[in-house]
Parts: sequence; structure tokens; C-alpha cells
Amino acid sequence: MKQVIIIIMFISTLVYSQQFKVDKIRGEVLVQRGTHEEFSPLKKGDLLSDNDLIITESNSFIQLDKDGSKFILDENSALGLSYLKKITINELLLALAMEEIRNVKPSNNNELSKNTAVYGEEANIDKTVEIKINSLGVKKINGAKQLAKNGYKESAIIAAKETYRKYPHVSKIVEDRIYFADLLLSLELNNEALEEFSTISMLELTQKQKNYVDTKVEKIKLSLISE
Amino acid sequence: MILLVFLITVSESFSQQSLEIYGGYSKLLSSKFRLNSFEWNSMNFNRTIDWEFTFSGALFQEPEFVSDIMIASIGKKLGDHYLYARYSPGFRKRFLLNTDTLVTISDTVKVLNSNLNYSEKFGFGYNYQFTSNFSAGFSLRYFEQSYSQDNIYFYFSDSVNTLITITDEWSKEHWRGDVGVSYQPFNNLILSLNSYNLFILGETGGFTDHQNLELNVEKGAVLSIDYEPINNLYLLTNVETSSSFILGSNIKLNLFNTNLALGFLIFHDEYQKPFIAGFQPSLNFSYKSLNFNLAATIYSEPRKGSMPADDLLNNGIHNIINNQYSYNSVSANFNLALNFKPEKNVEFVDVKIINAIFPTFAEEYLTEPIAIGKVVNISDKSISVKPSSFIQAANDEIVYSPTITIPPGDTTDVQFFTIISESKSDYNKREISQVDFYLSTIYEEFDDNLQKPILVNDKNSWDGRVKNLRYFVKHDILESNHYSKNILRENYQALQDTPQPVRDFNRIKILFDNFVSKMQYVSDPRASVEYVQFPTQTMEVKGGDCDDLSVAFSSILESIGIQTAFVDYISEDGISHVNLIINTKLEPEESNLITKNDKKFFLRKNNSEKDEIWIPIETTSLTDFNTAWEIGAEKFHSEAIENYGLAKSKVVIYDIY
Repeated sequence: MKQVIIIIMFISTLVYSQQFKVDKIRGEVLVQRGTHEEFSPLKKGDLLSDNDLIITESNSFIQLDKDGSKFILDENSALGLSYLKKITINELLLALAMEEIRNVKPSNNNELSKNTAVYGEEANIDKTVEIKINSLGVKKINGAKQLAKNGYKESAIIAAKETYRKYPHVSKIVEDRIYFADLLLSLELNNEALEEFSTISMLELTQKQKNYVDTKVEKIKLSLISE
Repeated sequence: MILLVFLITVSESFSQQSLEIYGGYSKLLSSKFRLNSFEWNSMNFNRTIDWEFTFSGALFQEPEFVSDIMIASIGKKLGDHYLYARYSPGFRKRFLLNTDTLVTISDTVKVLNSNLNYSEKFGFGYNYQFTSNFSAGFSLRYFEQSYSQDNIYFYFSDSVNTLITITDEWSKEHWRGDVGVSYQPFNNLILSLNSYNLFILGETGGFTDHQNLELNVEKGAVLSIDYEPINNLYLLTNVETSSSFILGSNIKLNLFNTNLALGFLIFHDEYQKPFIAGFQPSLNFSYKSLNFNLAATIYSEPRKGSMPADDLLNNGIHNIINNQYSYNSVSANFNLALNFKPEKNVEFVDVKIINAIFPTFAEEYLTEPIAIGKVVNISDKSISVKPSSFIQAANDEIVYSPTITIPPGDTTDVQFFTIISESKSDYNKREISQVDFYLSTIYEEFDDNLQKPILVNDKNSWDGRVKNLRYFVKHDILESNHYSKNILRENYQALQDTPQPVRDFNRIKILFDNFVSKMQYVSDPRASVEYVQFPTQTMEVKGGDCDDLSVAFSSILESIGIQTAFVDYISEDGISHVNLIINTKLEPEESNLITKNDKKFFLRKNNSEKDEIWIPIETTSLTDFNTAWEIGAEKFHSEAIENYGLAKSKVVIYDIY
């Protein structure tokens, strides 16, 4: 009897954590589970949880099944499966608000947080250390765009925001920035869209991009005034 | 020709324009010691709120002791107006000028004398309070002077030619008017400016050929500064345009609900010798509406019973109660002031203790009140209220909180802050103490007071609020610094071989691995009260619960300049879990130097608006750094980020500094 209970508990745990199943797969598709460091290849029939990150290389794709719903992640993309869910506008606003909440509070009393007791000699920055800016950031933005195209607009915006912050070099790709700013506008989040377009206007833009961004900024300002 | 004057004999003494008979007390004390005096206060600065009666007597140590009534006065406050009148029978000076010349007429031998008398009879004063810290006023005083001189005349008649003596008499009366202003820019400073002899009005009579003997009424002014540099110590300075000055101080003591002020001053009089002409010790005692004052005036230069009168004949005197002919004397004054109006302007409705005292949170109480009092202004004008409190088990002295202004008739919340004394106690046990709350307004004496019990916890007690754990972190920061340095010294070479950008990260790793290798998880020993160990205690007992371990490791890192913050995971059942996030100082582009998984870190903007990589650490995971990081990151990512815990305040970050 005890064995039965243990088996039932195991299955229920498995069922609870199983949210996605690899339905179709082509090429090299990797998974990074939870907070693990390793990447491992996926194959058809594998189970995935929302803590996992999947990454597709060139000429690869993966189709996931979640309770009968299908989602395809194209080549050169990365997606944290926790984003693969419908969220409300309110939840999106909460997530955007967190950007500010988590910052260090301004303080005038930081004396003990300064480097008061550095042990050993301060060495110059080791030039041999290679800070690899890998392609994960670009892949995540690709993944976020596919989320948006599949109707997960709110999740896509959160994923993109998080990616832009953690991979700052990606935030300089203007076309993608404009894509997500337009996404905010399509959700009628005018203030947030205005802030995003204003930030984009400070990047290096082509004349065409500049005209587009300026026009958007003006339009949003007008609509905000009329509100 | 007969030599007219050789010697003078003086009765009564005293001197200098702003020297007064009360021995000098700071105007900052005047709400307790309400003794008005035109001498230092011709503008009638006064904090009377109703009627005041003052009676002064003096005992003079002349060759023989002589007593006199000095002042009987009445004062009345009417709104912002103050009226004052005084009768001053003891303000007089008499000189007997003896020529030592004997005149023999027939069989009668007569000595030729002269008498010189000065007296101030009465005076009136007025003051207007423009604002709570600025007032101005004036005074009018009536003086009488007389001079009589025995003269010899030849009497010629048909039958006899002889000499006779006749006493010639002169008199003079006048009013003296003065004005002054007083300004109190700060609670502990009063500046006053008063004139002397500004107006001489209604002069009648005169000494004709002896004008030099008339009271000298040279115009001038006196600047007074009253300053309280530290509580209950008062310094006072009067500087006159004649270059005369007074320097003095008072020390106030509160004993058994009474006020005692000890005073001492020295004075320089331009018309007296030596440079410091004398000094005045004084004792002021106040209990409710009663004042008692004792003062002595002692001159530096001993005065003789008889003195040459050349200077007097040439220059006269400048002041009736204080001049160069005053005896080396001791005087005593008795004063009584009565006040029929209750002094209370404000009173407590109630005081609510907000929280028990946690001695380790001393810094907290400088900005967070320990209690809120409901206070009502029972007067008919806006009142500035100075709240203060004294916790018997935790304060060395009364602690003053910020002053607030309450409109007439209004009830307002008043905050009470405190300063926990480090020397008062070791705070090794919890105790119920008493806290005295006080309200004071324009008076030194408290308008109202109230006593309430308050729980003073021991130093390891914690109120359960995670933000207050930072006070435990700061407690042993030096010991933690020694600990960290020792560990890092042992790993000197490993750290030197580490690339600079990840050096802090590796310090964190080394310190954590060393820390957890010595620790074990131990539940809180006390169930009813939250108990947090100081970092040194955790090291000593080699264990603790999540609060203790987070506090200790935070202290270890903060002591070497690595920023940490507590993460408070608030659950539905109200039980919190605490762990740490740590600043690696790495920039987002450098994340791949420490991890390939971006769920294991999150970014916080620093004060320069630059993103830095922070990593969550589960301090109760006493295995190794990597495991503690993974567990901490998983919990943080799931609860703070994925479930919007930060936005919903289900997860709260508290920075240590």
C-alpha cells in the first residue's frame, strides 16, 4: 500500500511539472533546465517544464505541445517556457513596474559599501579575459517576436524587456526595438510606448528610422493630450 | 578762602548701567525667573502670561549692615501687550561731603558740610510681542536729585559784624525714556538691544553753579546676547557703548520639580577701577509661580568709609545703584513673583506607544517615532510645542523631538523620537520601563507630562521586520572585517590569479564556502519572541536559523565593501523566509564570466543608474556556494520575477545601507 502511495505521489509530481511535450523537432535544439549551467539536446517526446529554456540553432525548429495547443519555435531563437502563457495587461504593467522596484534605493550613507577593505593589490583589468557576447540575446529577441506573432503579445514584451536589460548589445538593434515599441502601442499602452520610442530616438538611427520614430512620438503625444 | 571739600562719605552702593540687583540671569531662563528690571531690560522683555508682583529687599554691608526695600512692582500681560510699573525706594544714593572746616561763631563750633542725594522714584514700562520671537518696548523712569551746601556769610549790622552759616539748596527732577528690541532667531539664542538715557524729559530745577554734580545722563546703548550652547548652560553678555561690559553664565538644575539656577558674572565699568570692577554670584530658585533670588555684588576694589571727592566734583556719577563710590559690599535680594494664570498652553489627550524598544535598532528611532501623542492647544493663539521624552531604562537625559505649531483649540498628533543610550545598560534582559512624555511651549517648565510603561527588549530581540535585520549586520562589522580578512589572506594567491572583474565574485564564493563549512542550521531558541544573533554570536555557536545566517554572512561581505540586501519572502501564513542577494559589481555584458544561465542573476541599477549583476544566495543551504546560489536563484526567479512578487510586495528587498 505504501508503495502505491509513493508511486501516485511521484506521478502527480511528474504531471504537475510536465507542462510541455516535444511534439516535433528538427536540427539542433538544446534545453537548459532550471538554474543548471549545462545545455542538453532535445528529442521528440521529451518533457519540459516552465523553468526550462529552449534554444534552436540554424536550420532547426521545435514544435511544443501544451494541453493540445501547439507552439513552433523557429531557427536561431531562444525562449524561456515560462513566457509561453497568456497574461493580462495588469500583469504586464506589474512586470514593467518591477523594473524600478528592484533598483538599489538612492542612499547618501554608503560608506560601508565602498571598497574599504580590499585585500591584496588592485590589479589592472586582465585583458586576456574575453567577455563573450554570445548570440543568446539575439536568439531571445527572436523568440520574443515569435511569442508576439502567436498572440502572446504581453509575454513577448516582458521577454524582450528582460533580454534588453541582460544583453545590452541587443538593445542597439533598432528595428527590433521599434517592433516591440509598436507592440506596446498596439496594446494601447501609450505612455510606455512613448517612453520606449523616446529611448529609441536616442540610438543611432537611419533617416528613415528617425522619421518613423519622430512621427510615432508626435502621434502618441497628440493622443495623450486628447485623452 | 575756605577749602570747600576734602572727603565724601557715601551711603548705599551699586554701579554700571546694565548691572542689576538680581545678579544677572539669562533671558532664556526668564520664563522661570520672571524678575523684570529696567537696568538690563529697558524694553521690558518678559514672558509673563498674566499678573506679576515682585518685591525686592536688600541688605547692604556698609560699615554697619543696613537693610532697605529696593523694588515693589506690578506687571500685567494683555494679549501681546505687557504693562509694567515699579516703585523703587531703594534706588538712591546719598553723599555727605565734609570739608573738615571748622567755623567758630561766638562760642559755637560748626562744621561745614554738603549733602548730595540722587534717587530713582518710580518707572513705567511697556512691551509689545510682534511675533513669537520678536518684541519691542520702552520704559520711563522718574529721577530726583538734590544738593545742599553750608556756606559762610558775613553779617553786618550797626551793632555787630559777625559770620553766619547758611545752607544753600538746589534740586532737579527729570524723566528718562529708553527703548529696546529683542529677537530670538533660535531656541537657544536671544539678541537684545536697549538704549540708556535716550530721552531726558520734563527737566526741572538744576544745580546752577554745581552742574558737575548732576547725574550724568550720557546717551548710550547696550547689546545683550543670551546663548544656551548646551542644555541647561546659559551664557550672557552685555556690551555697552561706553565700553562697559558684563560676562556671565547660569547653570540650571531641575530638582524635584523645582528649578534652580546658579549664576555668576563679572563686570567691567568704564567709570570704575580696576578693569574687572566686580562680580556677582547669584542663586535663583523657582517653583511653579514662585521665584526666589539671592545675589551678591562684590567690588574688586575695597571701598573706604571716606574718600577724596575730587572726581565726584568734576565728573559726578553715571548710575545711582552702581558707581565708583559704591562700597565694597555684599547685598542680598529677596524677590517674589506671583502668577495667577495657569501656565499650561497645551496638554496631552493621550500618548500611544507605537512599538516596544529594541536597543539594537537605536539608529531607527532617530527617524521613526516610538510614540505618537495627541496634543491639544488649550490657549487662544498658535503655540509652538516642543515635545520631549525620557525612557528610564534607555535614556541618559531628556530627548527633544522636533517642534510643531498647533493652532488655537486644535488637536494634533505629535511624534516622539528617542536616542538609545549605549552607556545606560547592557540590555541583556527585557524589562518594563517607564517613559515620561513632556510638552513644553514658551516656558522652561513643562506644560504637561504623562507617563506610560514601555517594553525595553534585550539587545538580541527583533521585531520580526526584515528591514530591521540590517541593524544586527552593522553591530559587529569590525569583527566581521577581521574574519573576512583572515579568510581572504589564506586565499591570497587564488585571488591574485583571478581576473579583476570577477574578483568580488570569487571573494563571495571563498567566504561563503568557508562560512558554511563551520555552520549548522539551528532553529530559533525562543518561540515567543524573535531572537537574532549578532554575527560574532553566530560564529561562536557555529550555527543559527535563516535570519542569523543571513545576518552573519551579510556582515562578512559588507565589512569588506561588498553590497548585500535581504530578500523577504512573505508567505500567506505570515511566516517569512529570509535570504540574501549580493552585488558582484559585474556589468550585464560580463555575466558569462560567472554563469551561462541568466536566471541565476538579476540586474539592479546602482545610484549611478548603471545595471549591476546581483546574485541570490540561500544562506541556509549549508553545502557549498554553487548549490546555495542555484537554490537562491531558483526561489528568487520563481517568486520575485515569474510571480511578480516584487511588484505585488510578496517579495521585498531591503538594502543594508
